[in-house]
Amino acid sequence: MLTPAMAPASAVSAPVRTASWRQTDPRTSIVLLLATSIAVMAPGGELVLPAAVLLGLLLAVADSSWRRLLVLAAAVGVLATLAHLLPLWVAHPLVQVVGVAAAFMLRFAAIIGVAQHLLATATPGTVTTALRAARVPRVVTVPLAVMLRFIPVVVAETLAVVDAMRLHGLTGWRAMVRHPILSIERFTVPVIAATLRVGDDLTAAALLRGLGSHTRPTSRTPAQLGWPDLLWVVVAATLSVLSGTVVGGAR
Amino acid sequence: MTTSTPTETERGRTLSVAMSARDLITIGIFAALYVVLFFAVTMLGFLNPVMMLGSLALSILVGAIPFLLFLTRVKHAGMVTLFAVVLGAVFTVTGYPAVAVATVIGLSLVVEVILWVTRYGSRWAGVASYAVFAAWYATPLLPLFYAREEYFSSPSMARMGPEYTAGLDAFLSPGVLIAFNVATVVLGLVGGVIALGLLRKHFTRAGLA
Repeated sequence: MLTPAMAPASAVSAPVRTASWRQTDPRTSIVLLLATSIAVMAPGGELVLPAAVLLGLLLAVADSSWRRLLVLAAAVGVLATLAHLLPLWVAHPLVQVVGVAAAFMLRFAAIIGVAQHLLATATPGTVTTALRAARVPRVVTVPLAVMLRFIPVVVAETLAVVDAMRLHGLTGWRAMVRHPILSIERFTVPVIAATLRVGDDLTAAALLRGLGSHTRPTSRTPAQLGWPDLLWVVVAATLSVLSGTVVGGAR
Repeated sequence: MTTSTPTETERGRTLSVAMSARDLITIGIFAALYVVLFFAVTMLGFLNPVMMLGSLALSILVGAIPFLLFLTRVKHAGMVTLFAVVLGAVFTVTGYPAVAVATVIGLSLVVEVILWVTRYGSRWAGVASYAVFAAWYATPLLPLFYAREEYFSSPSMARMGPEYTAGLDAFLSPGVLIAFNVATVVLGLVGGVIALGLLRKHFTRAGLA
């Protein structure tokens, strides 16, 4: 029997998702990232590179992440200058080598720009919900979600270990060249040991919450594709076509 | 999703590929460890071009430690393949060629066979498995085998001038490339042996292996 006290629960079960142009479904973020990565790294990727960079900048605006916007713009500016402008002015072999490396890293910078939108907006929960809605099997979604949750933990532990090594004066190139195996040991063993300790705790917590169970869980915020998703796909496609025509025409 | 119950052969090998939730979480944790350590070490290579090859060798050695530790927790078929699929997803997103993803998954199947034959108990089989798995590090150069023309006529190569391109073409002969592939396997073997020592020295004692 439904008592008045229980009534709010049914109100919660039908959430109203406020559709804003800023919000993309994790599936859209993943598709945008995959498309960017494949297109930019494929032969002829230079044609769509400007589109990928612009998409990354627009997504940073959508997330209101001004720091990311500035860092991405600065990184792309420096790399593009090194890759395309400097070799025209200075004909030194070293500049050419740096230019080739910068052109390579420019592609990575463009992909990272789009990837940061996924990392900033998607939580393991929303990613699992979205992937489940896309009929991806459980054996793939659970490890992926755990990895997504765990990479920041490992990065934090790694930085802490590097700091500790620096305090002990163990981070110099000389020490690394003279005792490579000892350096590997001093770096990796604490990182792995610390991470696995955190991992045991998180595993217990995740199992208690039912991660990886066979029953199909429901989500408070169901994965829905809406007009913002269509908007971003159209924006990405338009940018690619424009960039392809402009860059292709300039050749 | 497979729901088969574990079946035992007369020699006691588990044939089941059903994954428990704990198995799936283990795969995710070790994939995260492997990815972060791999990128942390290869990041060193961006500091200067000389370190590029050195950091590649170093990342093969470092990668052995999480991989061997992961294998101590693998007790049935399918886990290594799933690990490779998750890594493949990361590689796709970070711009590796599709052939690298296919190679990682293919090599993981070989590792599955090695582990199954040695009944998931042998640490030396783990070292051999890592040597096989480490062969994927050669994949970024694989396009040189099937798309050589395209590789050398790319705009960045064209800007380096014909002498440089011709020199690189001569240097990256099939012989050198095969030597590079063999080197990755040898480094994998060396890394596996070092990792085995570290496992015994640290992780077994701490109850983590």
